[in-house]
Amino acid sequence: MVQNTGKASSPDTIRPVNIPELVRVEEDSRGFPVRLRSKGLQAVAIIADKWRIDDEWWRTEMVSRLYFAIVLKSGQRLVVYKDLTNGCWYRQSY
Amino acid sequence: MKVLCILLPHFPLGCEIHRHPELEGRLTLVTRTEGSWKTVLDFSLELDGLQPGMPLQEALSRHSEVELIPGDMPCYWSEFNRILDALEMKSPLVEGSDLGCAYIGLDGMEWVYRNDEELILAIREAIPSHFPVQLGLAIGKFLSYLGALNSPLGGCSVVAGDAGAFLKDFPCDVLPISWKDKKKLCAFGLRTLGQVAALPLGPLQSQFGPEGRRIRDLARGQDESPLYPRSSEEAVEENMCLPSLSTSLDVLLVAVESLLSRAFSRKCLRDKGVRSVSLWVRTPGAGCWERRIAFKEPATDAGRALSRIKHVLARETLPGPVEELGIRLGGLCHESGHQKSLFTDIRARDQLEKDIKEMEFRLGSPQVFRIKEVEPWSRIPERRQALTPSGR
Repeated sequence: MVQNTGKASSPDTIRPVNIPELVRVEEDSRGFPVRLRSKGLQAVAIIADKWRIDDEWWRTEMVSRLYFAIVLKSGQRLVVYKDLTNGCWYRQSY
Repeated sequence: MKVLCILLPHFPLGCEIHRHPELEGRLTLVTRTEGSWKTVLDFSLELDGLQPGMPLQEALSRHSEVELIPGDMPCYWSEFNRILDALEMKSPLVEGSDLGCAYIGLDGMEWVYRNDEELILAIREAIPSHFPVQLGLAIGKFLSYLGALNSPLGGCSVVAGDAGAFLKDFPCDVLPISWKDKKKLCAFGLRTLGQVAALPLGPLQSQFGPEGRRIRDLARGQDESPLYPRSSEEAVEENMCLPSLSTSLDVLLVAVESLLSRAFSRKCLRDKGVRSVSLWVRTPGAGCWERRIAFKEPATDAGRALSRIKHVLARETLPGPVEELGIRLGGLCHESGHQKSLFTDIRARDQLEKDIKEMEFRLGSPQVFRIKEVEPWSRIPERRQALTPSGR
């Protein structure tokens, strides 16, 4: 019998792509982003879109996110979201 | 033939308690699912009136306040095979066709072990200490099995002399027959082996068919069944945990492809093909699912094996979201002949994969990855694609 390698979590296994990146965001009283700390403090010029995702609610680690498509003062467009389960902000391509 | 029976009572439950020590002392019932049919596989010692193979519905009608655990057969067999491997180091004649029950042929073993005590000591050393063991020594498998059943935990019982007198008080439940036949014996008012042994052959055969003769012979202590030693088979096993629970066929296929690539990149499979793949998945709360897939032609690479697995998986319904899966490649054989592709682009791709494999062999770990779409429709962005090692 050839022994089982038992490999489970290593670079050999499949890995997700586009993992959210933690960012520091200052929000206003409504919970909307106003400033984003990424390469210095940058103000949010426009909130172009806003949507919410609630999924996998049957699991212990449910997914509940509030996404914002924003345009910074510098003109850069990006998507950030607030994780409603832990209150942290993340940046992620959507 | 002189046979030693090694009985590991409540083996599946023992495996579960070893994995989850918090189950110790709790009323637990391990279940087995065959299609839509659920039966009892094992149970806590405190639960009386239960039998392995009993329909779950009937067991729950006797004991409703029990904790149900779906049986994890691949795990139990893997543990049991390890014990059988260790036993094979003590004797070459080892049969282990039933989970938790092994037989060892002792003919000729007097040349290796001076006496039975020495052999029994060697056998006990081969079994992990967390499994209680009962041993029975007799002529024939059935008598040795009953000897083991009759012995105290950790002890050994030797059956010699009048077999009929030894057997007569055992309940019919000990017979190695189906649950249905046991119920039928019970319905006829036959509760002990002594009662069955006293019956003439004709009525038993008319009710049970060919099985009737076997039942009567066993009840009289006549067991001519030979010992079937384990046949060793070379196999390659791989398994992995998924990054998150998944029910998606695409995610499973990506995982299976990764496992197949990993298996086929192993040295023992170089220039070889496989005739079958056993695929198992583990789901939280719903137990295990396993399927053996045989190939018409030996599969010599991950791509060929995957196309057949894909076809089978697409038609199957898994018991729940998958958290872990594994493969076991069996029937290893040499490649009979392999025609290279006529198309240059396919040949170039094969060459590229070969070069990647060579580079990874030199550098030791996956160096080139490929992005694959797994759940492109998902609302959660990180679930849409996955990174898999290329060529492995």
